[in-house]
Amino acid sequence: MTQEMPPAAAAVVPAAPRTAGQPSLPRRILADRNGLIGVVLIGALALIALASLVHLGQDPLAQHQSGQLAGPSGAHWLGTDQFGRDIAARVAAGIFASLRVALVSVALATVIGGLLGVLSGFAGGILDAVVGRLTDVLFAFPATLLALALVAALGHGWFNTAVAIAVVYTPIFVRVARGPVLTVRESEYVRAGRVLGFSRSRLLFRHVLPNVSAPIAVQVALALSWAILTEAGLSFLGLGTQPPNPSLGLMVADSRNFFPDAWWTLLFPALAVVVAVVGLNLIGDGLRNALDPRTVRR
Amino acid sequence: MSLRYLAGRVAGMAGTLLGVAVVVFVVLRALPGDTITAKLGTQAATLTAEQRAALRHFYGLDASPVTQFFRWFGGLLRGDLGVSIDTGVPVTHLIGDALPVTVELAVLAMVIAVPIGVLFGMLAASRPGGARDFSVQGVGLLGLALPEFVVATVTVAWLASAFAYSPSAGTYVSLGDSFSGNLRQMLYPALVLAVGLAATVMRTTRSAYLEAAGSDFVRTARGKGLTEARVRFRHILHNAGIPIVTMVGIQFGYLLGGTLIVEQVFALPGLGRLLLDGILHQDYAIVQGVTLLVAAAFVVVNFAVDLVYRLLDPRTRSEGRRA
Amino acid sequence: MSVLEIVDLHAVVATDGGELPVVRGISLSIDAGEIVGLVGESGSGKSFTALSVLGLLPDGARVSGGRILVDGEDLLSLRAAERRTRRGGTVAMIYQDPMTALNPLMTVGAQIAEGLRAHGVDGAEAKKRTLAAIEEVGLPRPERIARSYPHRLSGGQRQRVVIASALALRPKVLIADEPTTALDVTIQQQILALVDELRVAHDLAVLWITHDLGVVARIANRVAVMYAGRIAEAAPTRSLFAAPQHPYSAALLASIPSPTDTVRGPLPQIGGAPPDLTALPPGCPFEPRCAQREPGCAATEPDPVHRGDADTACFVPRERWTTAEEAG
Repeated sequence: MTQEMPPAAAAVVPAAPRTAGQPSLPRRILADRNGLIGVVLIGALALIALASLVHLGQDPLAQHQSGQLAGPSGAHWLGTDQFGRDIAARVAAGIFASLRVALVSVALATVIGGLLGVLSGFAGGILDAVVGRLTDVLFAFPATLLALALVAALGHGWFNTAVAIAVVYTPIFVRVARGPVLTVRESEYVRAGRVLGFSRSRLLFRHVLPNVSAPIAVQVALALSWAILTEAGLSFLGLGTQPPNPSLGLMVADSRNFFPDAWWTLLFPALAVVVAVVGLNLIGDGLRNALDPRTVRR
Repeated sequence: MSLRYLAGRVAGMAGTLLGVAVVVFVVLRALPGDTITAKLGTQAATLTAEQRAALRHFYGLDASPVTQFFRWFGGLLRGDLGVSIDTGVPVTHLIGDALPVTVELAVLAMVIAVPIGVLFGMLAASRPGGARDFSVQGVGLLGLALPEFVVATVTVAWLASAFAYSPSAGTYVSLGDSFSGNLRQMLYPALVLAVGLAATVMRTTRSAYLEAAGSDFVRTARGKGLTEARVRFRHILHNAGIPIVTMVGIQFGYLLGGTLIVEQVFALPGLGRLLLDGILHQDYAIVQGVTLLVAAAFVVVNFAVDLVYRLLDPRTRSEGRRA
Repeated sequence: MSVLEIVDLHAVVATDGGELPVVRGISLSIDAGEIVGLVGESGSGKSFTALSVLGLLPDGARVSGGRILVDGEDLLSLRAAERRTRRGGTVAMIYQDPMTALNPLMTVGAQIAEGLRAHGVDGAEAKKRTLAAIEEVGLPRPERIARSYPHRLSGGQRQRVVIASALALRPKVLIADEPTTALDVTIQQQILALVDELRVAHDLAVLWITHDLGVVARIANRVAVMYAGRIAEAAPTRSLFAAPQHPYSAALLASIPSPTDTVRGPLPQIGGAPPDLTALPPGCPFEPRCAQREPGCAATEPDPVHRGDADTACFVPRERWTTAEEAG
């Protein structure tokens, strides 16, 4: 039945619910169709990025005199750009650069934001008020604008880009972590724990953290996808990775003058960004489905 | 909605705006490079220490940061955002020229995206899990994942090869100059912005519509013998409308600060372009001014959205005695 | 004369593994001015039966056989547009949770009036009848109630509004889907009394769906007990409570706490799980949990037989029951 009737209160006690052990989170994500596709896409990109590290293919900076703007061939699988550089190698290196910025920025934002959120939610008082005010102010900026202003202030370079993106995302993690902490803090079992004299750190680690990890996990996937888009956008505008270093955003910007004739100069870097964003969003969807007990499979 | 509530919200907003001003000031004072070096270029190296000090004094850079902030903030309150170091034009004039371009772009993108997003969101939600839902959702995800700079680049390249269109060739035509000429320049960039926007609206509409459609009161409405059209529009869409309107309002706020790439690619003299030029020329009066204005607009738009939300939903609108 | 007559109703719901039978041949009739209680656990098919009558089965579910007659007209043979006019017009429904059954964004008056308008009542007349309907369910100051949004009203007031809306068009059949379970006990009693009063005033045929035999005892003339999509036993309320003819009815009765119990011992429970509709046994669906089962019960599914005042789908007459169950 699609409509759940209330349990038959006095009349009939239903049979005990199935108590099969809950499968682990990774397994539940993989069981979700979206999650599985997302993991496969991101896994493939990560492999390509790692391959670029050991120069399995071509040097992304080498300029081949033989052919500039040459189409895909046996020698250059994805063609070459206006300087005769191998697009495949540049895309792979670009993916590495994107993932590096995304991972570092989101790691920073998750750790700092998550910690601030948990602590301010758990401690309350002045700390909570100050953190709350700060996040309010940061939320007052449109995300892209804030990232841009920070990059303008910090200067170019991948780490500065990562820091700028991290600052933008930190208040989001503060909120995501703080909400469940407040709920958990007021819940029966934490109150009971306090009465029993458990230490604050024990309560924090045993009861509070497990409850905030689920919403944070979902947010991490979405933040990674936003970070990749932002990094590419900043590079596109000339404010991120600087030439001649390979970057997906810069490659797209450069391709403008050669498209649609040399379509490969645009298609492959664009495709890499799209695949990364789609993959991460699918993982986010999968996580949400896996973590939400209310989700009904249709 | 009581006056007291409104007063509280306005006070809170003022506090946030002050915080925004502080953040903008603190972040942008850290801009790399000295303004004077940026202004004078290689000549800066030839300055004597006295000349340099005089220039610093002229630009107010020798005062303490706190004094500088209050000088700047006092100027803000009088509507003085400073002078572009690069061109000597007051920043308010530059913004005055650029703002209408960005606002028009944002409004146009909204006008295109919202009906499309709502319509397709409803289509997808009318039979969840069906083939139509699947394809609409797939297109929506693609619309979200396609980066604006890719869509903009492809569009410009395509326009160039198909119509020998070049965004940088002509000068900007304002709405006042020529309606059709302006629209010809604005339509494509607005369409590019509309792609991601329509996808966002579509996803919100779909989930809000599904949520509303599953409500008990929808069954009550059907049980009264209402026509399906009335159930869908008067009951489901009306209830789904609250989150949709909220989301659209917030998106509009984002858009004011998010037209940068499109303005750059299509060579439109809006706020985004102004900001980018400011960053590239290290003209930080411009960067401060634009950042502050956009953030303030964002705060005000969000406040307006909240008010509209409260007007739309009787549960938050009224207080007082029960019937 | 029966106003509502359900004949051999079957309903299925589509799942990944094919269509699942949720209602498997229900026959039931209700006279004008009569209240029939339809009792069963979650998943017994009682709500699907009710929604079939209204034509509001959820997506994926459909009526797969039988007839639903209201005043001799088979609702299932009507075209969709005609079917719509019967909803609210001749068959109306009131719902379990009054907190969610009303649209939060419309005034109560507008919600009642739109039902009238949907059936061709013009604006001024609809307004007049809305106020009359609100007054009829015992709410004071109808104009003020009509202008209120649902969140201004208490649960009991909202349930009265739902009832007013359901009865505004003077339907012949009222389906009540556990309309008292979400309410406080005192409010419950008021709503029960109100429905009973309106039944008398308008000669309503009421189908009262519930899992609560106490409510049934209070309000119903007859009871039908559902199990696994079929009616296990149908009988006059008094007879069912005095001498249930189906072991499932007996077990349900045994699990009601009696006000005369002085010792609060554990209530008897029915062991085992409700049947899995995806894999119904060939025999009686209650057989695995039945205290009175006999060797033949697992072989074929029993058809209803008339025994005492009841129609019961059981092979084993009361006389052969072991005493343990009867004591309950």
